[in-house]
Amino acid sequence: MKTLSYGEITDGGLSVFQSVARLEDDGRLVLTFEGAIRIDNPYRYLSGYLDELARVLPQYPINATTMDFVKMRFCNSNGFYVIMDIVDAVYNLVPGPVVVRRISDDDWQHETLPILLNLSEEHIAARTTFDDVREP
Amino acid sequence: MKPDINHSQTSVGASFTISPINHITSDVAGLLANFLDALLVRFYPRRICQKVNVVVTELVTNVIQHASERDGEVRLDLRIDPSGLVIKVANKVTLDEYRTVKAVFDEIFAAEDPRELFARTVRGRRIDKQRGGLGLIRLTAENKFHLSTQHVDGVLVIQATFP
Repeated sequence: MKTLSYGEITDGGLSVFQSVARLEDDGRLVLTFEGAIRIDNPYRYLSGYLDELARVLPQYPINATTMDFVKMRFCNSNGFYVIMDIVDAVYNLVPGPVVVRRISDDDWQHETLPILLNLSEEHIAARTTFDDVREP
Repeated sequence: MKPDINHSQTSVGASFTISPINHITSDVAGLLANFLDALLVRFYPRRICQKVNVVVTELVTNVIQHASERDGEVRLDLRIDPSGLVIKVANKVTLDEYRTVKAVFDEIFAAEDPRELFARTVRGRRIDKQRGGLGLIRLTAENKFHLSTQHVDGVLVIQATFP
């Protein structure tokens, strides 16, 4: 396993949101989202992470992706666009199927996340499956 | 928790007033939302408490970020009991501000499919990453709140009810 990139939002010195991109030994990219996005401008913290994803993802022989939102408890509406940019980087730069892990009864992960993934685009929907899990 | 008690039969009410709005410098919306979430999860399913978290965050943030009457107050009232959840957020607004909010309400009420309106609005505002403008639509499309608005004596009250 190799960590490819890491993005974080801090508040008062505490980490409140983290996203990690790591490559498993079998060639699967695992992108985790953990914590809560509440700040007004998440790009202030995550623009470097987006740049790094765009730089490193094409460099590795990735054959599949898991995006894991199970530990992402909250996303305000200002956070939607940065999530869209992160998942766009995956769909545009990485080939293969994408599994999206989400909480089975969470409003934003069921109603809004599919919009942020842009599942209305057929080629994205065709690559995407959901793994609905109970809240940890 | 006592196992023989149905906690979802509990009634909880809370009211907060902060004045003037101009003195709010930190994420007060988040503090209130997280506090109420943490309180209500003692009695109600997490899914309901997360709705409270989202609605308090979005409505109070709207006031803090957009209210032009900075010397006025923001008031938050919450009531939850077995029949449902009611949240009201009130603040003094100008007539122009009220018209802006009402136009969003009119768009929501006119939409045949709120989820389609929400998706279209998210995609449209993403182009220039416009801040704001999604909260009320989100509450309807994502969290299934029924929204209403009143404008009395210069005070705007937005009410969200579930179910």
